[in-house]
Amino acid sequence: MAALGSFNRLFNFATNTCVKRILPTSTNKQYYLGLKLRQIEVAGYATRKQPVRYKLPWFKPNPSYQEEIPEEYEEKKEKAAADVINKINEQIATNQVGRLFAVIYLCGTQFKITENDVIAIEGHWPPQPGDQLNLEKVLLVGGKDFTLIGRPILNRELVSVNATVIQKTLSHTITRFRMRPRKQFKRINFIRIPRTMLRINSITINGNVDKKKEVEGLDRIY
Amino acid sequence: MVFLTAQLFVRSRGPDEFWRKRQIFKLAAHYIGRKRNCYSIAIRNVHRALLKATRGRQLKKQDMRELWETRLNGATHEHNISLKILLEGLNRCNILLNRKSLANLAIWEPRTFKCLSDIACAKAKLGGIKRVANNSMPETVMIKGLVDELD
Repeated sequence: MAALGSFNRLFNFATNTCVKRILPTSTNKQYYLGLKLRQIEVAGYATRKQPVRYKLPWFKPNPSYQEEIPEEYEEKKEKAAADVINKINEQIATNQVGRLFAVIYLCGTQFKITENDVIAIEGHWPPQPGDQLNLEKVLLVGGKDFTLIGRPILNRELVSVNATVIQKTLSHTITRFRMRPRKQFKRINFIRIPRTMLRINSITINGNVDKKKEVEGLDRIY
Repeated sequence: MVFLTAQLFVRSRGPDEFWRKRQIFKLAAHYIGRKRNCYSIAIRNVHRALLKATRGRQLKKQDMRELWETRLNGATHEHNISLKILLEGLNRCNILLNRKSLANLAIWEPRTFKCLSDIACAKAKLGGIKRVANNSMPETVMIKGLVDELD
């Protein structure tokens, strides 16, 4: 009996405290819409509620990509950079670049190519044999003593990569066989993937590396 | 052909037994022993081989990716950084070369690759990556162009 009494008291205490807490806020809001109007602040500073960010000692702060220029940076380095660019321009002007290589993005894949290469492109690709192409997505071009790196691609008027479609064929027959043992499931398909051969005719760098043209894309008609 | 009963229709499926078996035996021609001569054993092995060939085409792509990663790891450790730093640094510079072309450059154009790894190292250092904290700033990198333009 004593136990039941104590339990009853505890229950009363719990209900009193909880109900008091719940009533004025949540329950009233739900049932009496008039109360809501009173709570609206007519005048006052607009304050945005900051989301609470829980921080624990082992949490790392978010990486910031905003970077500062280190103090070591000097005019000397700027001059050195200008010298390098001048040398590259000189090499291009006097045609001392050697055999150029390039990394191009073509048909979803990247190829490292040089002049007179033949590359094989797999999958459906519209160009027909005999088409002359100008490959414009050039990620990187390198010569004997320098490399131009695109971020992500180089200016399409700076580098021109010319190519010709040689041949359109199919690959060898690929057997695609699926089977589940003891489940009476067996499928066999034969696939031949279309393949295009592309000859790289020339890779050239046009004009100075650091020069920025005022008007671009005049050669292109849409 | 006239099929008088459903039973006969079921029995007459496909090409003749001889040709059906010959198809399998052709594929098993280079096997050794009973695998090559007994049909019931041959077909088991042919099926298994074809399944493996189908799966192998996917595996080859994964293997190549692993191979490029291994090669790049070796190449980057020559320049005192790791593959993760290289990829992270280049991505932050918006240089979107993939593993295949990077591995190709590492093998055939080592000087180009050295430049790329220097750029990545410098970018990682400026970004405050802990792994390269002890590396010295590559002297060949002119930093001004690397800094992101503030919007």
